[in-house]
Amino acid sequence: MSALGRIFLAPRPIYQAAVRLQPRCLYNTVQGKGDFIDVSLKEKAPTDRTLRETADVYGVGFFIAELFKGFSIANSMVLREQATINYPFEKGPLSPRFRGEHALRRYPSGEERCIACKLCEAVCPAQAITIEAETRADGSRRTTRYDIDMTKCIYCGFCQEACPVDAIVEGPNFEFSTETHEELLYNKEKLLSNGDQWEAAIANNLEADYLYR
Amino acid sequence: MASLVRGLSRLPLNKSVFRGISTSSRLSAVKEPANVDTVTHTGQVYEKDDYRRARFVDKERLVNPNFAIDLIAEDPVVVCNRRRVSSNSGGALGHPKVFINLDKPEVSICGYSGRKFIQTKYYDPAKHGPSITYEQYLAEMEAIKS
Repeated sequence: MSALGRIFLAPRPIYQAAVRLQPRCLYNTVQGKGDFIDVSLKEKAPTDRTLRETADVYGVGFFIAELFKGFSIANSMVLREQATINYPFEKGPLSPRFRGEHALRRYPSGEERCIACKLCEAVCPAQAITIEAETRADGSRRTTRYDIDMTKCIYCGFCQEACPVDAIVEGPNFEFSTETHEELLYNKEKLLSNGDQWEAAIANNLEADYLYR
Repeated sequence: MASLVRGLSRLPLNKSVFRGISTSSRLSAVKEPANVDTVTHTGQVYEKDDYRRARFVDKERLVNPNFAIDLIAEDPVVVCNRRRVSSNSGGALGHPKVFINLDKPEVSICGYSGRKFIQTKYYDPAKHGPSITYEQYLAEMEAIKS
């Protein structure tokens, strides 16, 4: 209101009346009228300085003390610990709850954990999981097809929460970029191979966190 | 003119079979990996004339060599003295606990972990293969328990 007022009413007497009668909340925003406190450091006028203050001012300028101060800060940064890491060779810490690339796990005996209960398929909000099941040759119930569309997946972790046997888990791997879309359509072979590759890390993470799940 | 010659050269003058579009058998003849005919643990393999073989051109087919059905077949039978045993494969990070009735004179299999259980009186080493005792099984589960 006051900004518009300043544009339209500036030269008119009604403006002065409006300024005088406006509420305090607007009054404080009017330039030069408010009760702001100026906290900036005031430089003394040269005529008010003592001899010592004058020597300090000219000394700082003559010996470029401010430049040396800046350089000393830059030099101290060189000697400090780096804030960055050498990424492909060093990696930052990951939580045991980190949800990365999926993997299908096995029991220590080598048997697949997944028994095709399809809870993960049912819970998946992105409907990225497709499961088909059939009785295996030795009579056990396992999946014949377990596909995850990693491009549909939103990495919410509901699948591993739904799994009663910790078969499908989201492992700590986050570096699985591919060149083509098709390579991100994971089938059971890929998921089981992921599990074989990452089992040690996944088991450690589950071990660290199982009391809280 | 050049394009006309090129177009005419594609006519099936000396070929016995003319295909309007390139088919998979031709595509797959380009460069297929050696393992394209390997059967996976789910029994999946593509026929010779399956167009889906095109997806393995210049690519390796991923086949996991660890077939669970073979690995679990090597698992020893757990010989138990009692009629009823429980299987949970190591507590919280195993599977839900299931009780298995061993009254039948045959190997009873845990539906989750595939462990095989049988009563001592029905156990025949020649028929059922290597075995461990129920106590050994419990010690094994205790070792992997979290």
